[in-house]
Amino acid sequence: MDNTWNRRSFFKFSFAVLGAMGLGGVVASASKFLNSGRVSSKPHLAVKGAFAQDARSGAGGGGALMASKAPDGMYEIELDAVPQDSGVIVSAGALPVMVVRGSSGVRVFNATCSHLGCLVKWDPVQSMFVCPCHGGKYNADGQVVAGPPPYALKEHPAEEKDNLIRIAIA
Amino acid sequence: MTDNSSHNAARGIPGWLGAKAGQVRSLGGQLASSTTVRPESWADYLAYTGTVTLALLALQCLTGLLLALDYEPYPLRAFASLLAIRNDAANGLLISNMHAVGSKLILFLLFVHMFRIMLVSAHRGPRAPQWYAGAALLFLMLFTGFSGYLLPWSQQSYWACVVGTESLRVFPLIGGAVTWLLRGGPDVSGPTLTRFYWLHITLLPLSILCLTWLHVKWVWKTRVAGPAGAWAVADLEKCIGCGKCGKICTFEAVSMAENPEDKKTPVFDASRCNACRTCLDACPSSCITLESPGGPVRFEPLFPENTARRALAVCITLLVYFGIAFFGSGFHKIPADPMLTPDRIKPDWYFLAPYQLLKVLPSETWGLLTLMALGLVVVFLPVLDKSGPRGLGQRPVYAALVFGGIAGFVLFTLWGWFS
Repeated sequence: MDNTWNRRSFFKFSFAVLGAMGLGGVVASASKFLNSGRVSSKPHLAVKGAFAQDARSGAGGGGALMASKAPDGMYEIELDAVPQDSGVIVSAGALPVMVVRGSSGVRVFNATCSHLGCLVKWDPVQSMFVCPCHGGKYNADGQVVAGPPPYALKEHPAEEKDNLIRIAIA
Repeated sequence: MTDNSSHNAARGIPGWLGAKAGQVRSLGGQLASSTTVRPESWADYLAYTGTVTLALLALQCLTGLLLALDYEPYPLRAFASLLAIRNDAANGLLISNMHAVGSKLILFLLFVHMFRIMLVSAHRGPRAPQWYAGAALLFLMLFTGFSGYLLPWSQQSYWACVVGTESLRVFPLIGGAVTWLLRGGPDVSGPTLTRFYWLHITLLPLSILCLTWLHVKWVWKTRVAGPAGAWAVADLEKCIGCGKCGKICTFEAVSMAENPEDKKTPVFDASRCNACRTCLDACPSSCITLESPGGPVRFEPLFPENTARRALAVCITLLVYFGIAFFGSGFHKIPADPMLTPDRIKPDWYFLAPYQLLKVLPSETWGLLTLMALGLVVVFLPVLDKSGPRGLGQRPVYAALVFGGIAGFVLFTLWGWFS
């Protein structure tokens, strides 16, 4: 081995240096990541909404209204919570239901689309339930009128009493 | 080393290490002395997608390990912990984006990889096991992507998971049970997140690692396929009739024929030959060459020429990868709300084609049957396409099916994207 530089030894050296620099960069970035602070444990930096979800596992209300359970097993919400000619998703226990207040009174349907489990929305202009996922449509009686849903939305018996909407979940 | 070195070899762990070191040295020697096909056209460069995917997989492991240290897989904490990683930790935003971009890019590269194999018909004969391992790897990576998509626990991820797991119910008999097993209950909730997290960081990556090892090992054995339409030819003047090429050929492409000069000479079946060059290396008189419609196939050493080309391909991909990871976050901004389905709910890009197909087909059952049929055709391609010429020009029906399939996939993906 002589000590003179040739093209081969120059490239070997260059690649070794470049490789070491690359590896060093990765190790340094990763260590910096590992050693830097995390403020997520401080409650005041909690993401709005992230702590109030998962109504289905009973850990919070999410954006939906929670119906309270009466002693007779019926679910109750304030009549004012559902404006006239609108539909609102209400959490009855773990079940999301759609409460619609139309001209003929209050009707309550299972809000879960029979296609693939998304929650339907009430479209007051068309008087239809519309699923945002695959475009399924149901009429005001919950019957399928368009799109892929295989069967109708189940209706739950409901009544208006003492400024409350009372829903019976079988 | 002489023969008695094996008698003196140390036992136990040092012996095992020594043996392994010897194997690695001999593998290194084989790699250093190997040659491979020199790329001539754009299609030949597609042969490097496997190497590039391997490099990206290594990066996914690294970024995934870093993210797993701080991510909290619970509905009330997942989104917040990921935001903390992204916004507060040094390099957190980059690492998180790299992981997300990497998953999308790997699937893109895998699709291109599969396309290239179809182009050169490298799924045939002894290479069929590689194809099956590759198909299994594609499924595992899709599943890994699907499970990882839930982890941010955003509106997008939550509802994509609801729809994705719900659609499995269509399978007769087992559908409902699989959906329940994946969700850990009737709905997508806390148990779903912990189950998906467990799948995403243990079972799926380990399976991918094992299968990738097998896949690469088999590729090493049968070698990278030559360009489409290439086949071996023998110079009968130089041939000494030893028959080594016929014995060594794993594709059964060589038969020995008697000829007038009372010498057995090889006859190459162009439809079976995969241009792997095993016979070229075995031929003592160097009478075999590879021909292709574009002229004789040229070779280059695996190291350093081919390695340098592959390294360049990795670098160019990494440039694109970091470009997207630096500038395009694509992170979902709204935490999951199980009581509100958002208006535009779509899966990750690689599921857009099946998503759109299911949307346009009249019934769920028909949609799923169509998807399964297409999937089975792809998986069992080695059974459906066994022999015949490899060049696309010589078989217009195959070429039309491959390019039609690709065009359909791209079309449905774009349709799903813009719908």
